[in-house]
Amino acid sequence: MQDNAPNPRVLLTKSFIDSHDRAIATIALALRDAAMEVVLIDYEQPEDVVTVALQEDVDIIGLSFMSGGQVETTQKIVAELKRRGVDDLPLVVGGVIRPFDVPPLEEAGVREIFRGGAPLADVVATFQRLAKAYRGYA
Amino acid sequence: MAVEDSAYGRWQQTVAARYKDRSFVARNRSGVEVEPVYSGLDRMGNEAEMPGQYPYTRGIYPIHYQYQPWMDLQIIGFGLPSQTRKRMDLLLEQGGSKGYFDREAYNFIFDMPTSMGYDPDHPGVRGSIGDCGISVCKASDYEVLLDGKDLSKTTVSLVLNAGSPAMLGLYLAAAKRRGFAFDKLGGNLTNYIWDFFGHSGGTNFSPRGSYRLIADIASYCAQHVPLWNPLTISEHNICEAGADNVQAVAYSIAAIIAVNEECVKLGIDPDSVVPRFGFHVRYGENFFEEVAKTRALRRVYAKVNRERFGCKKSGSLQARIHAQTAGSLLTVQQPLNNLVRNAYGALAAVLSGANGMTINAYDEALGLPTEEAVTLSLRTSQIIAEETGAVQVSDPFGGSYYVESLTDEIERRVFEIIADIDDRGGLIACIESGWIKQQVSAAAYKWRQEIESGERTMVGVNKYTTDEPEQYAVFKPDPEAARLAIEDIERHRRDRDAARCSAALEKLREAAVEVSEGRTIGSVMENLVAAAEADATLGEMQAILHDIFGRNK
Amino acid sequence: MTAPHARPDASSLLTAVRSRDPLAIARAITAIENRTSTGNELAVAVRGQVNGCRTLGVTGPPGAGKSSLINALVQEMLPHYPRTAILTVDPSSPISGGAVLGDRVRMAEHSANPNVFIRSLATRGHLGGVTRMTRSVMDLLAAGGMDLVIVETVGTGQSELEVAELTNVKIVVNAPGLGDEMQAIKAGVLEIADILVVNKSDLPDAARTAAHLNAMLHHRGHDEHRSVVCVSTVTRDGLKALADAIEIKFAQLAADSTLAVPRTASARLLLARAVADRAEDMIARTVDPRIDVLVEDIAAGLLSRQDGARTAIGLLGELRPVSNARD
Repeated sequence: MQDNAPNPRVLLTKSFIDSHDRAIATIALALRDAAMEVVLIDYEQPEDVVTVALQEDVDIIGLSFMSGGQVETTQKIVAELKRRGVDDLPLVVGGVIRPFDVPPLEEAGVREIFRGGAPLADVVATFQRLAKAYRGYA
Repeated sequence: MAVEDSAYGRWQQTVAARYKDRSFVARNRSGVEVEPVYSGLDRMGNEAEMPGQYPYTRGIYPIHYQYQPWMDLQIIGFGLPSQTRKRMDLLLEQGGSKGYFDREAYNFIFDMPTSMGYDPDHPGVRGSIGDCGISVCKASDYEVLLDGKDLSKTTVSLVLNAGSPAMLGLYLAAAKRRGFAFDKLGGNLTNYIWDFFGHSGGTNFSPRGSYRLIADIASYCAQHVPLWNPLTISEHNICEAGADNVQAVAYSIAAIIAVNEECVKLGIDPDSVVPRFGFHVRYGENFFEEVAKTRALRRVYAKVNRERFGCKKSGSLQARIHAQTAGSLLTVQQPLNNLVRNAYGALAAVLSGANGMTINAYDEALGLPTEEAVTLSLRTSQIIAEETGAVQVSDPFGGSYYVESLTDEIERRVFEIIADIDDRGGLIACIESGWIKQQVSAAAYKWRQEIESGERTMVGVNKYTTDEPEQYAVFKPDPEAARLAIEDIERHRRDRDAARCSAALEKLREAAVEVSEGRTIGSVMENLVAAAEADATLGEMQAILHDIFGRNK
Repeated sequence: MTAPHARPDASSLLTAVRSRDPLAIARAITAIENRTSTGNELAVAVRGQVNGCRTLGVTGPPGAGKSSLINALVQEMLPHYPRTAILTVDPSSPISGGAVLGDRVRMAEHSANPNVFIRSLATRGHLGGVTRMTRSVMDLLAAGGMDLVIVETVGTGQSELEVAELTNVKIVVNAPGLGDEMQAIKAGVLEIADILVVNKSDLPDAARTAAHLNAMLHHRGHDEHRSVVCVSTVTRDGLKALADAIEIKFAQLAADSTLAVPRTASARLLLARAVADRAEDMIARTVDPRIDVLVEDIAAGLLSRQDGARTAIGLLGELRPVSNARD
């Protein structure tokens, strides 16, 4: 390995009832090709996301939404991160994010919102930047 | 024949002289090389085929739109049944919701919990209740949704995923309570439990369990609800998952093969169920390729059902196609562009001879469509039907050098993929090994990289972009819907005859075991209707089916 | 509490690991995987701890249903092993070094259980199916109070021997309808399997697959101590029998420690694999002009890989690798 910094570890996740997984599968491959290790799960309870993030010791969480639950789920995950003492673990969301979802998501502390058509290169660069900053390699 | 002496030969010589070694060959969405110009020499030896003739390349009817226009089915559904009902009444008022032969037709989508078979009070689904679809979990919900409608003159399309079997139980139970005979009920169940292409996770049944359940529902409907279409193979969903057109057609046919094989194994005559299977096909990305894929799909379907499964009924050989414009190509950027995209997609569908049509709302990428956007979708269809003249000729591209050649090429590639799947042990084995998922994800990723590199243009996204701020009205779902839905189901559980409901669910479990072990077929559906009549909820029935048929893991 | 991203030193991390803090366990694993100086220190401190708990290796071809089987098996075994860890290993992309780790999606039932610790590992360029640092990660998990550690690997025909070395009891999972893959695993699999599992026993062909495996065992003659167990995660048939069979193996091992020693044939292959690992490591981490010349010549097509390898093997004893570890 030429780079001394370890590969960022990423948790990408969507709700177990969220239907299509094209977006999350595409992002996973793009992050893999940018040398990241990507853990993929579907969650039943928002709190499960935090348990997995802690066990996998990821540097960033990406939440994908297709059809519902954008704000409520994110708020629950943020609350759980806080409760478990990792409230600075960066959280980004992507997918169908409606204009009225944006203010409450930003208020919850979401670091970045990616909507349909966001350039893959930007998505990858943001994951890289946030992950490295969290891990302490910024 | 000396090529040099023909028009084609002379053309070749001129091109070589004028343009030297430059190549004008392009590649389409599926990677098929497309010549700049086609001639009759590309397709020698094909006998003339007319619309309405085997193998139905040119359409399933001898005369199509001139006699019977396509059915407009706009997607409808959000919030509670009462809220969706209001939108239905509005659509009807504006000339929508027209089915065949003066029937009313509704294309219902459900919120994700319902679509996957969960009740609104299931922990973990709360944020999604009534968002992006209707919340329905019991037979009595249809009394609100379809209050006063004559169900023998209403075509109801139920678009949902793993919740499909139990949902059909709810609908049939509601119809029965209102006294409608099953043999008068017309409608569709998309029954997306066949779809392991664009969906992942454990909400679906195991692949084998899914295909067993499809056979159960199909055989029950063939006997008891003969006008009902119990399965829609969605080429559209496979494309939306990222597959190219050739893959999507091939996987659609592979799914039909898997269903038919399951039926044959269980002693069901394919001719008794296949005529009620249909397709849902996607349009809006590559105009000519999509016309050609539709023609190839019809041809391959006819050949496979006749040659491989020995089907004899003409209905078993005719692919009915419901068209839908591409949702994943709708952009957040410059959303009005989507109106134009949808119009071209819809035109491709019409020139392909599709039998039904759903035109997406231009603002769908932003969230649930607004009423204005839904109306514009309907107007798009009406303009094509009544202004453009596109409906005057059946299969207008028949005989086009280009489209005929592309149709043949797509057919050839589709058979190649089907043979590959056969070699790998069949579709279910390919799903279980993860091979299918890999193929689709790789195609989706490749497409995305082409957008990124600029090799593929998306107007307003990677070319001709603007910095204008967004200022479009976006439909906001009712935040109260979740609370009301949960209160409603709690009340329902309190008020029902608990003993009768548990007994019906117990019988459903027994039937599911019998069917899962291959001792009988059709009785899962029969008991789903009975349980729904006894006030069992969608989620309660689903839990039993998950137990017996396994979850997709 | 300190800022979460401030990475604590080895000794405070170890204290937290021993107090079973899941976050500390997770971060210690990261340090070991990344071979940071903290990680190396931890690996040394916990070396051999895994001998104090029971370990189970699960391997088999893609599509055999390994993850689902582990998910169901853990439910069966949890009463006896209140604290269970599962390591799932997936390959890293040889091109980018990244990986998509999707096995734990099939273990969602245990997500909410604080006593089940699941970690996804990428092979990070290691030749076989298990990561180079898996043994140290297992030691660490044992130090964190785990009663049982399960390691899942893809049976590619290469990795079985490494699983054999890592875990007390090895189960090899198969399923009906995977004809070609079964041929592929045949070679190494009988050497290491303590228990052969036919998964998806609810399928019609399961009995035939089981008969085939039994015939293969029978053919080997001396392997009478191994068994074939049929299970279905759908009906849960056979799960208890499998858990019991695993228990019996654990008990036999506890009674007779010589059983844990690899057979000679396995040991020879393990040695070969270890030599290859060591060589890979040396070549990758060495700055030596003689190696650089070989690399350039191969890249330029002037030298065959085979000839290059012969020369490199001769140089191995003289190479001085540089450390790339850092926190």
